[in-house]
Amino acid sequence: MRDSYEDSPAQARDASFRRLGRLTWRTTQLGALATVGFAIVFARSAPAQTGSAQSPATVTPGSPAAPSAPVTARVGGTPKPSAARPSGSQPATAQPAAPAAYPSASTVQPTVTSPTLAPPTTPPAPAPSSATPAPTTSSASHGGG
Amino acid sequence: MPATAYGQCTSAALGTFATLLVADPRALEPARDLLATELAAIDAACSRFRPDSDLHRACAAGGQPVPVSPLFTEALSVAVAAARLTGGDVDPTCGQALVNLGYDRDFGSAREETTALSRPPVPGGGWRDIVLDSVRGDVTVPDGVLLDLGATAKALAADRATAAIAAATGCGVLVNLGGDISVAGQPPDGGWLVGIADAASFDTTTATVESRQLVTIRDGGLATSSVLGRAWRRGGAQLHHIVDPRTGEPARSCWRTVTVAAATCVAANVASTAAIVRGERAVGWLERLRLPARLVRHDGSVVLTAGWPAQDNDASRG
Repeated sequence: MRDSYEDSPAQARDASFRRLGRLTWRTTQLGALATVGFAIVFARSAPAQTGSAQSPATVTPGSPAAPSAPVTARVGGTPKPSAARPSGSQPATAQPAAPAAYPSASTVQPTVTSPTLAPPTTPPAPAPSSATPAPTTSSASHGGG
Repeated sequence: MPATAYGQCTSAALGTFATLLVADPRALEPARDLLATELAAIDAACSRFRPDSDLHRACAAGGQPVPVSPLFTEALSVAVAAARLTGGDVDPTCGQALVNLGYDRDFGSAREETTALSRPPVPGGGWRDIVLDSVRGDVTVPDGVLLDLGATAKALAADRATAAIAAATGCGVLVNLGGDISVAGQPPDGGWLVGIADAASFDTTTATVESRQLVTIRDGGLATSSVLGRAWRRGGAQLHHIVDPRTGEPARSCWRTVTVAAATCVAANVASTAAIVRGERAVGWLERLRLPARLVRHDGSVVLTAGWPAQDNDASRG
């Protein structure tokens, strides 16, 4: 028994082209689906990583919370990637596979500890009239700032 | 207010004094050890007068990167953040200015020298070119720039010490480093009682300083900056240690003393130092930041901001 497409070389060629076309189209669809899937996963994970790196008050040098992408910060100006560093000095925690998850140069705070000039939770209160002598004093001392 | 049974001790440290108060006297011994450890660490990292300090090595590297301790990185980060927050009024790169003003050694020795100054003033501003590498743990200080972290490092040490002591002992703690006060943990009933002084004759070795006002604080920090305490004479000129970074000379301020309360001792210190440099503009600045402050003019009149409690002998209120 012979397949019908083998009856004619031209028909067999056309059938092969159609099958190849369908295969190419399905491969394209799979690729598109995979791209969308990666984009969704990336969109969920990237903001969290970027957000943690943008919290300078909690980031300390060498701590697990520090940005793992190597960053050199010019403290008074624009931070810059330390691309000029020898590759051998790259930290083991660097993850170049997801560069967009790390803060860009413009979003990196230059300091690892950034104080803010915030008021106290409870402002100073007047001492009661019956107060005993203060055990300590803030003053214009030789060591005062 | 009844007398409170604080655990208390005072010792010399960082060229000044360190007073430690703990709400539970039983916690005094471990608290004292933790404070001593913190003070030794900050001195080793940030002293301008120790050739083995991180600060000294970073400044002597000729503009090259220098590996430094995490503590120095933190202290320098705080210092440059202070410069940024104050528009450069609190500048960690005024070390050479202080040297040229004669403050080139421990203050106790420097104030003995009275000859005229021979070197011109050196403005600051170099903080903008400091480079911190958060991964390698090194810093690059521009060649020729001499750091002085005195305005913030002591306050940082106070904040770090109180946090460590409160965490380790579970009780309320107050640390006072030469007038820079940090508190943490549960305060005693009624809060911590603190005296506010601005007498020119105040000697840190004297326990009988006269307070101009008594206040209570419960959290954060309290710092006093003044042109009176750390002052000296050279060639007939009266000098002090708060440098105007734009001129490299002692700030010519309308205030002789400024005390600020803030969320941390660092913030209080930065604000009080900046207020001295800013002069009259400091009042509006502190009000906008909602920082309670007590500012004393050279004639003794007082301006209060953002809810600082009034006192009968305060002459005026802002």
